[in-house]
Amino acid sequence: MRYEVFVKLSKLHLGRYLLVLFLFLIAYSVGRNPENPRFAQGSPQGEKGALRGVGSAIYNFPTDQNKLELKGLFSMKKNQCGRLFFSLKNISTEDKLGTLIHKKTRAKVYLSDEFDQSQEIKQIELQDDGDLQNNEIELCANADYQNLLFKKEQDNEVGAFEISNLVFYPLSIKKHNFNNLISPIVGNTDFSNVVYRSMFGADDANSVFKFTRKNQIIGQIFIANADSISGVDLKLRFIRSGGSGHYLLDLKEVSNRDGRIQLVPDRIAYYYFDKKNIEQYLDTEKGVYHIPLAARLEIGKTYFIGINNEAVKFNYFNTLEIYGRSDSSNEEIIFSINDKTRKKRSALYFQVYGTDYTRMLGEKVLTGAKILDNGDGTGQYIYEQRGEFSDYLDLEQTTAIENEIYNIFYDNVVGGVSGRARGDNKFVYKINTIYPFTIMKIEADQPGGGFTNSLVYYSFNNNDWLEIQSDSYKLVDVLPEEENSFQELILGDGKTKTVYIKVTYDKNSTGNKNIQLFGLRNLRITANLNLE
Amino acid sequence: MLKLSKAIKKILRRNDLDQYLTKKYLDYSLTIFSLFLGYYLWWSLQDLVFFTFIIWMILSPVSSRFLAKIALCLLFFVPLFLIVRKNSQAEQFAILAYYFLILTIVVWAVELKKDQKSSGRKLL
Repeated sequence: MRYEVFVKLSKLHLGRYLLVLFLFLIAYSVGRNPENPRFAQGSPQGEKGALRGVGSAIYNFPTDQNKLELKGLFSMKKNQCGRLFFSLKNISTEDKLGTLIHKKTRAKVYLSDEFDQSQEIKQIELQDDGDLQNNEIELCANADYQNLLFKKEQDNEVGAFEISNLVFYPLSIKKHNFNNLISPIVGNTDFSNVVYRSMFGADDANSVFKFTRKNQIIGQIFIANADSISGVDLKLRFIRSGGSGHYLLDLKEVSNRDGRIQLVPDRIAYYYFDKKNIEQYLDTEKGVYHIPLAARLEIGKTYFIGINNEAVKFNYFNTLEIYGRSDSSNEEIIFSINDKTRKKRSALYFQVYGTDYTRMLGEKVLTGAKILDNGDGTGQYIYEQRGEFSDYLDLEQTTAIENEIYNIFYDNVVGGVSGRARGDNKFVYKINTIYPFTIMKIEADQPGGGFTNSLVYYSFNNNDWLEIQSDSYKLVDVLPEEENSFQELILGDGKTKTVYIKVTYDKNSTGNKNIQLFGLRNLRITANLNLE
Repeated sequence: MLKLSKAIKKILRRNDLDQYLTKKYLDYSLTIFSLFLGYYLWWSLQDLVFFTFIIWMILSPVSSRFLAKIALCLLFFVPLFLIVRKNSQAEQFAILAYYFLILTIVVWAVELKKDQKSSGRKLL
């Protein structure tokens, strides 16, 4: 080059171009919008559990890995027997065209140690769907093992899956004889039965309803035909980042005054989501997302399900679209901007899911609860809150003022059940161990911080209540986190199978707390059972 | 690779670049680039438009009077929005008006300096 370019540039006011270049450099180096997830720090592996509020870990078996060894999960001695429970979920992977699909995957599960010694305990086959597959393995170790190894059957298997709810329970029997054991009772609650669906499929939902205004709500009304719901499917598309902040899926009651639809301001249930967490955890396929939404409904009553963008900072290039059909003559979409509501003859694509509990002797077995035979005439009962919407659906009773059943709700921010600290609000868990218990341990936490203090009680008859003191009352010197923990040991009389746990709030603490909510999380019940 | 570098050298030698390296093309390219940059950095629409305007203004300077008029127009909308209780819009317009006032002063200072220079030359 003979510098002609620079000569010419200097003729064209070189100083101006240098200033522009300087501004570009400054903008690029310091002008990154920190609220954009693209420029945020990558989240660590362990964050997944924290986001869900689950104590137990979730492990990812990625597509590019042939084996995954989970180290130090338990310590099994030679000839020791036990039961292993875990859940598997097929994770969608990208095909050659970049489309997300579920791949059928086969793998083997081994017990393993640090010296590459292993024992095969099960072959698993994951179907090409995103359904949770619960597994239970009864096993006796032929050597000392500490690890669990998952290995794909073929080296070229490209499927990926998620391992969760991994628990090991040792058995008292020493030999490999499970024939006389009572079959484990596991609360595998089915949340997949559809109780309401739009009149067209996801593929036919091609009309776009876009969030373009602040404080906008887009949703649809439906008439409840089940007494509880566990989740809803919606077809969504995030435009670029989708905006910064969390969208809110709302379930509200609808009042119809002189033909005018009005949304009742109080929420029955809600779920906060943003692009990152919804795509990571709630994506099914074809842009359809399964969003947990736990609520008790009145059959025949009209409700509204919709998305609200009041807490989202967005612009035209970064927003959310909901899909449906604009030629649907039977249904109506509700639009609301700054509390002004209007209807439009269209329909959103959505499916509402109900709840089917495992039942034993007519009693509901709480989600994830396990009743296990130890092999020596004794058994174990284990129930843990999962930090998910099912914690709310497991409730036996919720009391609310003025027949407003939605003062108690699943709180995905806290990862447990929360209630408004007003009136006589309370919620009650009914723990039925099916077999009489000899001793029961109740452990739980309250949210703490600005939340109103919770009061926790137990009862054998849902009437005479005994308070479970928080650790701050029991210990002289307590750490801040211990102030929010509750623990109680209850002795059984050899006949009792049922315990009620009631949670309400301390009315004296409402004045000095800035969040007028109370709650309970990490509830864990363990009991020794008499099976004879 | 060798062929490509030869082709580039040939183009440069022929001074074909001249036809593209005009002020018009360069200014358009830089203005469009500023839009892309703001879009990539995930700026809000308001920030993106303002940044592009500044770039365009540097490349094709406008008078301080013009900028002052824009600032006044924006200020005029602020009380109107406040009357109809659109507080957030009023706040955004007030911020934009403030930006334009700053620009007006900067451009006015540049103009003043230029005037002083030219009047100095005339005196000489």
